[in-house]
Amino acid sequence: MPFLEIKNLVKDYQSPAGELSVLQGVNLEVEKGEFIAIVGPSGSGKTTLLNMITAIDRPTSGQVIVDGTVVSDAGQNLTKWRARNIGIVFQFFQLLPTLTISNNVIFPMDYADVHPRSQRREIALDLLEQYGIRDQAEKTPDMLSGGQRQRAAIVRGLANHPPLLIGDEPTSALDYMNAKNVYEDFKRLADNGMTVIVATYDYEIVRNAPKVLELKDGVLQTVNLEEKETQVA
Amino acid sequence: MNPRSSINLSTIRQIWGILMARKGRTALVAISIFIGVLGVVTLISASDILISQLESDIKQSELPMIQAFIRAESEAKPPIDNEAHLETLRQQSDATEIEAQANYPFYWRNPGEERFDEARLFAFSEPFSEVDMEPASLVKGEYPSAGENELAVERRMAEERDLSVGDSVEVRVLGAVDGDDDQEVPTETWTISAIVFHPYGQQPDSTMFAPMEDARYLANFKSFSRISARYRDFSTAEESRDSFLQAIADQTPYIVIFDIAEDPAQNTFIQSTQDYANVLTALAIVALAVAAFLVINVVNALVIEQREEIGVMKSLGATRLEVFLIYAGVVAVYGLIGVIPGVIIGMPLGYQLAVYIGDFINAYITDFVLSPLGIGLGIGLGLAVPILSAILPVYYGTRVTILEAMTNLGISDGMRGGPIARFLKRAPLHTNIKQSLGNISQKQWRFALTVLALTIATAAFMGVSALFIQLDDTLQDTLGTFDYQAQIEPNELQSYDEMESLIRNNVGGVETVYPGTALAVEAEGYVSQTAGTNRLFVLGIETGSGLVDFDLEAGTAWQDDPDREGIVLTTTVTSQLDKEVGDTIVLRSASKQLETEIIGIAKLPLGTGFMRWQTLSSFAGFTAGAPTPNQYLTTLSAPEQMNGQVTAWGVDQQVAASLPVQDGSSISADSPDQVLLSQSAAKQAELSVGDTITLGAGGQSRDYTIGGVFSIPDQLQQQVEEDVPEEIVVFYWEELATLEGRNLDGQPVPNAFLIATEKSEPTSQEVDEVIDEINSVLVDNGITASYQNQVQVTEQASDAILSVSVILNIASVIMAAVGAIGLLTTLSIAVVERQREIGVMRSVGARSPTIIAQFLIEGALVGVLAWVVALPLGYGLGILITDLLPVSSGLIEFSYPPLIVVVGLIGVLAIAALSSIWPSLAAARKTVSEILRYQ
Amino acid sequence: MEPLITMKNVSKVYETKAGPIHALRGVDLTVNEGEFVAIVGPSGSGKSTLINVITGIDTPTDGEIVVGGQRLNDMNQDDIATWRSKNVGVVFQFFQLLPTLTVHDNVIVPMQYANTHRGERGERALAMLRLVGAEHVADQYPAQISGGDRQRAAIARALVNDPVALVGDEPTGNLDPESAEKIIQLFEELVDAGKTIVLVTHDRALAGRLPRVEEVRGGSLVAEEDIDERLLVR
Repeated sequence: MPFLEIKNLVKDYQSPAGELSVLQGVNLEVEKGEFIAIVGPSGSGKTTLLNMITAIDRPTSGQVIVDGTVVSDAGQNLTKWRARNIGIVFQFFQLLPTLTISNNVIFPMDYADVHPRSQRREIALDLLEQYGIRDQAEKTPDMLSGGQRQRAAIVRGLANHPPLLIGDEPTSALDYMNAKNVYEDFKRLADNGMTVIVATYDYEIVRNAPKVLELKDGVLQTVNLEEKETQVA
Repeated sequence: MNPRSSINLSTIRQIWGILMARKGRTALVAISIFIGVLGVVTLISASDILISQLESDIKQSELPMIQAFIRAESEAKPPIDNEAHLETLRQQSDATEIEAQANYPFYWRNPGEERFDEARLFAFSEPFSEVDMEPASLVKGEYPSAGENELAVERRMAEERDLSVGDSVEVRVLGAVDGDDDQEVPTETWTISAIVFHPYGQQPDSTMFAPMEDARYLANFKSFSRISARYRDFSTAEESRDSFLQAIADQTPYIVIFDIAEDPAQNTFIQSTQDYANVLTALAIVALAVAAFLVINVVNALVIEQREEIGVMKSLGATRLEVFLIYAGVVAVYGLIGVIPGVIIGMPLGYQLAVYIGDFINAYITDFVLSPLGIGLGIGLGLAVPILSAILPVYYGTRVTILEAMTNLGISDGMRGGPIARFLKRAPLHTNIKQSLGNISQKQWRFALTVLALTIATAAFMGVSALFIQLDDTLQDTLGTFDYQAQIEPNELQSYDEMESLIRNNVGGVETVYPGTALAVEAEGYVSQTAGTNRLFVLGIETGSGLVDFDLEAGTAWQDDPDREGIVLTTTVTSQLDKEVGDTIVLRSASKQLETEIIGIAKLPLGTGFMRWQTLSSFAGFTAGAPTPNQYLTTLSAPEQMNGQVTAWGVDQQVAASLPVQDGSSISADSPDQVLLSQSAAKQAELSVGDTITLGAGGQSRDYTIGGVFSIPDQLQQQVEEDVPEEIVVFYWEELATLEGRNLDGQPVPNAFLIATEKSEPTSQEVDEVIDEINSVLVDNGITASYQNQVQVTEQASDAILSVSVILNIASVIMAAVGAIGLLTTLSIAVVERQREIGVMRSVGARSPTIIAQFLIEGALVGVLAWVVALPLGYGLGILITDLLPVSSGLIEFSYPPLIVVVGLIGVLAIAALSSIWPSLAAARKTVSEILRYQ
Repeated sequence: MEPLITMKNVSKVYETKAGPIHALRGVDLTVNEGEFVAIVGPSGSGKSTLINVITGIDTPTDGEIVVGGQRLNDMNQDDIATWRSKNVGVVFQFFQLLPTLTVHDNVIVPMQYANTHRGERGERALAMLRLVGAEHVADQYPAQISGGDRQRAAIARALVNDPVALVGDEPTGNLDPESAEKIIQLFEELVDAGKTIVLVTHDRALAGRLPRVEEVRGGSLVAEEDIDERLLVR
């Protein structure tokens, strides 16, 4: 059984200008411990696709199954399930502005109740150490640079040691070297059993991922990164 | 769901973070909750303390059910055996208790002082420790003993005048003079043997107590001043009332001036306090309501601002309930920050307010006491109200889905279709105004609440100010109507001529002495709104004198004919009775009744009637010179044989029947045209039984038949005070009076004298001086009286009105402040929200004045809308306050002076303008990128 | 001829709680009239700051900025606003339409601020909307129309005062390929007619199509030969 299954996923939006079809029948199977990058230009629907996987959004039709749970089912409230099973790194980081970095990382721990309470702070600080921002732990987000904030957002995503990590442009604020390091780390996590899926428009950094798919015309396609051009519709 | 994780450390941290991030806003909300809680604790504590105090001091079982205020008939010669009459009443009536009190003015001073002060001397018909109704309880020392020159002082007077047990005071002994001109009123030194507490009295700060005989000696009065009765229950009392009053009239030499029947369970002490308490509570609720609006506003803005964060928190595993708890926690902390200082400051403040109001209503607040009710309500409401107010906005705010929350880029939701949008599309307005109106309509929810908060505050201010101006106007009107400055009520009825010449000849500064009658009667169907009585106060005046300058709404009163009979009523009375000029009204006093025509309606804020004093005195029984049967001796013109005159004796049926008639039969009431002759008279007149005799008085003559001849018995001389000659004619007394043209009731005597000073607008001090002079003259002549300084009374009324309106004004200013804070908060939130909008305007070329004008227009529109809503609301609020306040209810009709309306508009516009300029000025100075980089 | 836009040694430093951020470091740039320039570069490179300085939306910490002969450095915000409304049309992603006015009114507003085209503002606004193909939404409110229409309306608004330059940040980001193409063609026509247009874009095809490309990296302009070709599609 694949860890993640996406079957014929369709997402349409109603807009005053008419119906927009963002996802037009996406299919995907991801095994546990895989690291996949989804690449594509701005506006191609990457975020929408990720939202389908994290159950933040629901499809018009089709199914998304994560680790046996059908997350595409419109009726469910998956708040706690999501907190325990998926770590999310948002495109614009979305750290809570009034909490310190360490408390930001602890927040999802308190609400998911995965780690025992007494260990949460230690785990958080360790993770921050791994990503080189331990010294920023007691600062609030507005005191950090963009890159530091992004790393904090990644750490927060990993806080509950989730089986699935989703990253939306997780290295956009990092220079090339740091970005590469992050991808190395994702590979390591994948090797240890975490399933990692990231989305980005950056055709360069994405080469550091073991598997790359392109979201084009509302569907996932294989892509040849050696070529420097792709057709523009 | 694991309940343990719902509130966790992260919850606490988030709450803390939100509070700290917007310290200004936190402070603002906390301040308004503080004000609301302070209001609740202070006001409700005050009323609670007052009512509790009264309930513990005033015991229902000690309150009388019927009180008859009495004075002695003018013919009753002293000494009146008051105790015996009381005993008579007790035996006659089925009352469970009957007691009497005497309450008269007397004069005292501290040793070494020059001037005597007037105070009230209070005495009970029973020994102090055995008084059942309205007793004076012993606080310190021992009750004064009779004949020991001892007095007791009411504790409040003791505090006010710094008197203690063992102190000596000098008192004037009014009872030692008794009409003898040459003797001076002696002064004696008496000792204070006790301090007592008398919560039932009206003037506790100037009342002393003495045993009854001592009181008589000091204050020189003939009769009790009040008789109180209790029955098995109040309905029995009501049924027995008439017979009780009748018994007093028939069996005793007392006249009932007025009477009160009051159910102890619903006594006026607590009633009037309750009224005050109601007003205070209403104010407290309004204060809290305004605070609640502010909280709703701020919380709503908060959750909208934090939309994205809410989405993030949800995506990180916080359920909707858990997010709700976070914001509820924020609100709870707002509440706590407001509640704690509010309660701490409110406790002593409430106590002080209770003491202050206690002065006005004679409630004696002792030591500092807390009101658990006030504190409890303050804490409870202070926490509950913000949380309840916040529930709805937080509920809706947390409803946002993660998706909605996080895809909120750019300017927040704009206008769509809808009636306002359609209207604005077509309206030929400048785009600035269209933009303002559009913005206003967009923030409907929050805007409506801000307007409401500002409106209520504005309305309160406008309503109260208007009321104050009203009351003041009314007071000035009242002052102008009455042209006298002092009022004298002698303890015993005095003749007008005597009083007038005494005063005129001996006292300077008096222009005129008017006779008057002051009486409280029952008018059929009328209930006075002012606390205390359901009696109509009627003032009998000299109708031809111009003493009272009526502002007549209808009727002509005595303008054309001063001798006209009838009554002038004030609008207060006629509106309640729904009567007009020409209608009649029935007045009742004790057991007497009078129907009289309404001849005028005067515009005065009092519940009063006016009549000719002579009519009123006659009605009340204030008469002198009425012939008393068996004591009635006079001289009549008689036939020549009898030397042209004869002594006539008027007797009643009883005495007539007891005369030893030799010839013929005795006279009776049935045969008034028959007379008896003494033997000597018969011989002198050469007449016998059956003959006619012509007798006359004052020019009139009549023929009488001689019905019998009698011999003068020995006891006769004993029965009649004056010397009786051998030759007398005996009449039935009523017939004799008719012959003489004498009123069987006697001539009316005024019970009050109204003094017009020479100076037309004297100060209270100057009137006091005149009163002092009059007092010393009267006392020297053995006349004791109560004095009233009209100027001072008016000033005191004005003070009371002033202090009430000051309290109301302070309350409304505070509410206006809270409303302005609310508007300020809303607009500053709006600016933060609308940074992008300001940025857009700048980017397409808007200069600062345009941007500031934008906000100014919005603020002004909010202000105008608030004012428009405030007018009717303020009107309603004014009517409500007028009805609730015991001072004003029933007396004043509420209406808006135009000045207030304009001032209100200017005030609201000013507040709105100031609140809106400040935030927009801040934005105007920044570069566009700074504006965006605000966060 | 004088260049239209001259930046000399322009630096911009922001003070933040995280320490000073050097958004621009000594940038020199000239743009002549009639040029059509693409600005590219990774996120956070400073390209937004660059065009902010050109439009006067931000002021340099150091260096000089002259646009159309006007030195922007020392002007106060109000004067810059007025100058901008007559000289530079701005189409930024975040500077959308005013939500409480109709599209038509939105396009009229700049004329009111600049006090231009009196008596004919309504007609001119409609003409602009027609030019960009958005006249069908003139009477609607921004919240009622699609993102693409909003963007077109924003472009119309930027053009309404006939500015000498047009500066945009992702001006076609929300448009479908067909509409985007129409807009780019319109831009090309405007450039032919003499306007100067500077666009920031991530669209590789668009960037490759424009006659001139500048890359911003780490707060500085990259020399032409070093431009990262991967950012373009030629």
